[in-house]
Amino acid sequence: MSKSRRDLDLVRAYVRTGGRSRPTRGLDLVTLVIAANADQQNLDPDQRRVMGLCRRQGALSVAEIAAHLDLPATVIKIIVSGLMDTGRLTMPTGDDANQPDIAVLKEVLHGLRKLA
Amino acid sequence: MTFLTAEVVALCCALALVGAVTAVVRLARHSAQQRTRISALEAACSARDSALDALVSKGLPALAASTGRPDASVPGIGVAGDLARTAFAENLQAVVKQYAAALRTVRSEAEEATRLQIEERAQEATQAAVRSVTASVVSLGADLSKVVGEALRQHDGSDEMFATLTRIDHTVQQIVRQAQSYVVICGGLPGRRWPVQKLTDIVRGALGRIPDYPRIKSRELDRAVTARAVEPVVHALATLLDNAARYSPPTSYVDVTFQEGHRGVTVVIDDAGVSMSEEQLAKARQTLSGDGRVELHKLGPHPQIGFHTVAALAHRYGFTASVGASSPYGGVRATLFLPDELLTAAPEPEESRMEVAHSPVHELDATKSGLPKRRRRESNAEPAARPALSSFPARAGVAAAWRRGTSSGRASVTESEQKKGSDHQ
Repeated sequence: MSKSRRDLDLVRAYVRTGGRSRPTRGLDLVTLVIAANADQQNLDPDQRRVMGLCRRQGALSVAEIAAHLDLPATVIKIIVSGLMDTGRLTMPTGDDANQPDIAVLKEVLHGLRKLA
Repeated sequence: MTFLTAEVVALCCALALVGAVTAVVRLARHSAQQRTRISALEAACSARDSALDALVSKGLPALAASTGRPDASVPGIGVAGDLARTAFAENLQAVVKQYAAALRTVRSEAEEATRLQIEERAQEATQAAVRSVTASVVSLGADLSKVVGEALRQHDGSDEMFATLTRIDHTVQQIVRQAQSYVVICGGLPGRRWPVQKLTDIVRGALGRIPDYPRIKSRELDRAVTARAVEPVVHALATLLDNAARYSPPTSYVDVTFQEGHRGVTVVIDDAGVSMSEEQLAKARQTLSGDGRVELHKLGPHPQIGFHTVAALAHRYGFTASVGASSPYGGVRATLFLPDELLTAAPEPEESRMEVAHSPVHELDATKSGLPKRRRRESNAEPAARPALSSFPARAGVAAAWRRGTSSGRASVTESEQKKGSDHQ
């Protein structure tokens, strides 16, 4: 294990998750989330930190949030799934307007074939 | 005439003779009486001598020897015959009684002093033994706690693994707390160290150490507690919170609020449990205002040391704990007053530090050659909260890898968010 002699967690993981040991949704490390609204009411400190981070940084993966807040990924999954349940976080859905144009894709395919 | 004179003379002589004889007889009788008295006195004297002698040579040593026995009684002095009913005998008996009483007093005082000395030594030895055992439990538990914390970070395993590790962790925290309580009442130090912490996290730290933590609802306060006082305050709060949760219905909540005063902050814990009687309250207050000293051997088979622990910590670190019957929920209100000396500036939150690190303001500082000046990050506020990031150098790389890997997902995000996203890292 790490050589650092100091315990980093005065606040233990199970307190951060409120005793929940599994996320309510099937999230993985690469699941992306974005802030859906700015409602700060009734959030605990960790939920607020996740929301603040997501609002500032835009779309973030579970792994990124965990790295930023230096918390176990499962803790973040549980917090994030809770925030998604209350509608504060959401997964970015593929917006048609931002999808790559079919012509561009064709061109790319063309280019790749040329390379081959 | 001559004849008459002769007769008179003869009569006188006779009378004188008779007188002389009488005197001699009297004298003889008197001297006989005197002799009898002298011999009687001599006898009495020697009887007293021998009585005293017997008392000194046998009676008193026997008395001294028998005083230690629980059934010892003051023995008779054993004077014989005529001496038995004299004032001398009575005085002698009185001397014996006083001697016996004095002997008993001296003996019991000596015994008491010895007993106290032995008790004190035994108490010290017991405390040292308990302190040593429990301190090693605390130390091992704290190590284990650290290992579990790291394991939770490093192994992003299944939900089951998380559940198991957190269960182990919760148990470890409670073991450590129990052991720590004994260390503290045995005169030891709490044993775990933390950097400066906000009161919000202090309460959440305390929650992790009690069985029924989901029932505690805490407000938040950004005031921070000095590093030295973090562990004692967390431990004292955990004890008070455990008490509140333990003695209130399992369906009720325990409320934690903060009251900011002129000279410090009070943490207020309200439960909806059974209220304490006046007598119990008085006893609890007395315990809490004391120095927490406990005689271990008087604790009995079901020791209740919670308040003693809080009192010992409060006494040593300079905060105040109290209990009252004024909870708005009908239960008990426990308060912990932290004076300003134990409070300090709140550590800067990590995210905002990150923002500061990336803010363009820093770029205004430039060297003469126009290169951006390197700035030391504000590390005085919370030197140990930062290693969180720096002690896991691999994690930034991992995060960067994730970022690259997921960058395509960002394509669907609005342009402004994209910009922000590219600012980070």
